[in-house]
Amino acid sequence: MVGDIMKRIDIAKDFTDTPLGRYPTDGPYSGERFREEFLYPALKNDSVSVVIDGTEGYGSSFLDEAFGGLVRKGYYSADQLVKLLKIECNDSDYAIYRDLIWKYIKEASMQIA
Amino acid sequence: MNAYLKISEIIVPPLITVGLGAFVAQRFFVSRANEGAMVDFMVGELRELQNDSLEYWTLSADSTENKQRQTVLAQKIKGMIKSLSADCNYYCDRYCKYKLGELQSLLVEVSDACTGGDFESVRKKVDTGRYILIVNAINRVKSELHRRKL
Repeated sequence: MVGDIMKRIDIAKDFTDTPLGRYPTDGPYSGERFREEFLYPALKNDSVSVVIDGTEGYGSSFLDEAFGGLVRKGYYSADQLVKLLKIECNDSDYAIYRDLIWKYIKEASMQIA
Repeated sequence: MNAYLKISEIIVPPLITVGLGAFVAQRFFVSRANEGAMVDFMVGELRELQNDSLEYWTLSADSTENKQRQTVLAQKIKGMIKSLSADCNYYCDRYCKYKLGELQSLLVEVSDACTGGDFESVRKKVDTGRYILIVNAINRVKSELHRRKL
């Protein structure tokens, strides 16, 4: 928390409304780029709210690399992310992506265990 | 005049009862028919998603034409999953609110099967092993929808 204000990343507004692929070689708006340039710098032990509404949909590969990658890279544990990360979706059509994000975080923690 | 009133006293209450009964029954059957049509529509979308996903994962990117086809299929798959999520929300909101969580978790499995691994990646190779993952995940949703319809 910075002065009790939670940092907020709106993927559609701050990154792109067409997230695509896993690695930077797959395109300019990949999961790895989002993780390394937006999500990880914003986290740094602060709470972050990520808004997932407004994009044209997500591939699981993007979500796995962006969020599951935080655990696989050893940046944070799944338990830490539960405390630090908030996935916001005001549009219920995006609820499955929120569930996918937590699924990948959980799976990544089981992979490295 | 009295005879007429007596007859109407006898006939009108059952007529109203039958009319109301018919109205309720008609509402019920129309609702069931609409639900059935919605289920059929979603099953059609699932079938299309299955075909596109299977084509995507069995297509090798060895030619420009195939690469272009892959790009188109990837967008179709992502769009269809989002559209299915919206349809599922509408369907559950209208007909079975208690089923929303279950259907959503099944759609999570579908999305994972269709767009996981090296989806939209330049490293993507032909992955025939995904066939069973995709078919199983999609069939689970279809079964759940058909169970509601029957």
